[in-house]
Amino acid sequence: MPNIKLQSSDGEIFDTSLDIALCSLTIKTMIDDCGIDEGEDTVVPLPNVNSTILRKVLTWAQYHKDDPQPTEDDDSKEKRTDDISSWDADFLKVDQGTLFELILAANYLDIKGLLDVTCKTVANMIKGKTPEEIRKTFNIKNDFTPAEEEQVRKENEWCEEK
Amino acid sequence: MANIDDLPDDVLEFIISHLPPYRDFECLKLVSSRWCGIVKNVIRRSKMNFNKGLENFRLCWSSYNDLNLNQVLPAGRFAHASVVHKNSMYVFGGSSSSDTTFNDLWRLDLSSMQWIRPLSKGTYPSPKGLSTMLFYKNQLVLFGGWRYPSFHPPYQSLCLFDELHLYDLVENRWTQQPQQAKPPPMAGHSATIHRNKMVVFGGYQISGELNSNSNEVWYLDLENFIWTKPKLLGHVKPSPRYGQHQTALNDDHILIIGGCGGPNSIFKDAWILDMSQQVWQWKNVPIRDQRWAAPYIWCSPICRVGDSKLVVFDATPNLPTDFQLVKRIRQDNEPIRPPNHDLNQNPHIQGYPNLRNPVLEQVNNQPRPGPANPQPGNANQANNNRGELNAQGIDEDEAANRLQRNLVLRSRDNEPNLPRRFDEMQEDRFRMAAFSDNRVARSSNRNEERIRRMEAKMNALRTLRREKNEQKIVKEAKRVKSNVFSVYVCDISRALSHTDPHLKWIEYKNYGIIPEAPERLILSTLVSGNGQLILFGGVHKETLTEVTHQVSNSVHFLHAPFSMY
Repeated sequence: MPNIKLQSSDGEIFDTSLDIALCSLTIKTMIDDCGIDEGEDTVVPLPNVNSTILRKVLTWAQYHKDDPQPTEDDDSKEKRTDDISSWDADFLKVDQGTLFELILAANYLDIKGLLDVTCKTVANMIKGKTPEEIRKTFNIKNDFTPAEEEQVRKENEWCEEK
Repeated sequence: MANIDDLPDDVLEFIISHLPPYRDFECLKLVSSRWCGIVKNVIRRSKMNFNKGLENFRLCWSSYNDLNLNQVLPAGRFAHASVVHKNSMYVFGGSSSSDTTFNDLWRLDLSSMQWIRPLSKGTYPSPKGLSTMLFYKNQLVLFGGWRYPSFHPPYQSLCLFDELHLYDLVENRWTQQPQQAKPPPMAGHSATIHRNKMVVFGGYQISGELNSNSNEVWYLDLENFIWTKPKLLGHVKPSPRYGQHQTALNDDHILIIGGCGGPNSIFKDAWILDMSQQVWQWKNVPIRDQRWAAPYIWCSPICRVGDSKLVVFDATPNLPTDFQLVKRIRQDNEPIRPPNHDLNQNPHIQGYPNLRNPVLEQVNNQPRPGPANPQPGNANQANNNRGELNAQGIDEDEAANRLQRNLVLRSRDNEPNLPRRFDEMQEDRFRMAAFSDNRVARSSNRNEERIRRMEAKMNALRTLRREKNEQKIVKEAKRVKSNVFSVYVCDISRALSHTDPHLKWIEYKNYGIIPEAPERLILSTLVSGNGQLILFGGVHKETLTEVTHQVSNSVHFLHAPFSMY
């Protein structure tokens, strides 16, 4: 398999095997559309991903490069969050900032598997928490006025009553 | 460093869509105004997708029967009562695998998918099945039901109930409510709540020594617990029945659909009870596109979704029985009718031999001869035809039946427009042996030849059977036929239209079979959650006649696939 050069936002060049890079549908589209020939010494610029994150993404892609391609059917699979593999779980033992950067990168690079597993991890961090606990966990500012908050509470009650 | 609020809305929506759409959603709404908006978007989208999915059959099943092995699960059951309230599904009673009934109450926390058995105080209801349980002002209202007759002493009649119990969800307390001028004991009735009234219709009753079905309407004032039998205008009303589905279209209108009026009498009709005037009135509602209708709307789980749809999980549509009917009519030297391809006339009845009605047999505790049921309506007509078929004993000849079925299949092969049966490839080997020719050859000559050969074979088989009639060995097939739930959807949005009131069955795709569909059970319950339907319990129909029934305690969900963009 030929290699391809990826350039992170901070200018670092990653010489990586093409099959790993092709986990990213964004890179795949770039290659297909712009006609970047194999073997040619072209550098694919990735201005939205810094080197730290790109290294992590490529580590993940290296491990998962042989995974079956996600299909349309995967949409119909049930959404469960307890099926994260132990390798992924270890891989995602990172600080929140890195986790969100990984999500942004997976979203930008269009790597469905990585987006799935990172989003599941965040979902698990939300599950079962009270609003205040969620705000604390993610450092979210409560911008509701007391009246607005009461309104949402009422809506919740009302929804329950159907 | 990135913060969660740096993520774009669609990614946050994607994250949220991984959570159960219950308590977590409510909490997230209270986090901040941005999150509130995003959660509302997810809810709106999932409702929309589900509604769309019920039209184009892009849906998916998922199940939670073995998610948490450590948790305590309710015993498998059927004919229980279920209701959803405040992110929980409550389940009461029902029948067990061994002809006994339960009086336990369970709560499935839909947010955490945990079964909880609340420690209830007060006066418990009797163990029973086929009762109705509804939610009213922080209470569950439980009415009616039945239980199997006990074995000691034998030959007792079964027990029907007119008990009314309230369960206080805050206090976890059962109270038996004294009632005055109450309706007779009943089971398999249907009920809905309208303002402060619980309106009850139909049901299986015992009047004097006789089993009977009711078409009476009663209502209970839930503030002072006084029963009233309302005055009805005119004489038009639904035939007596039990096991029908009842839903509140609004405060003043009830829709009932289906039900069972006894052996060989399965209803497919729909009625509206107009309660807006002083005197109430029944109106029959025409149903369009019956060919897409669910075959059994009386023991199959059924539930309303939103304001516009009824969803039924039912047997997979089978081949039309047209051919059999035509054949029989010809034998009787009656005028030859053209094969009727309008399936409106023929409900798809599954299983050719004996339309068994095991539940009813249990209820009656003795098989009754199918009474001629002089009800109006196409369904009955077709059913009576079936009854005659049974009387002829033709359908006992399984081999001949198979051949007939194969004939129908064969003739279908010449009509490329007809959909293929989903299980056509798994037809019995009888068929494969007889028709192992390739499908490319489609000359009508050959086909006629084939049909002639088939008929000859069939007649030979019949003769053989007649000759061997005495020494015929009745082999009870021990194998349990395994089939899955098909999804049927009825559009009820025009039920109250002034100009053109009607219901309309929606055309199903792939025989209503959604991938991963659970095995078809009867007398399970179906309730509507947030953007999903929740199916619980049920019994394997074929095992109802056995000593131990196969009953289920698994929970299945039907929902729309999540698409991000």
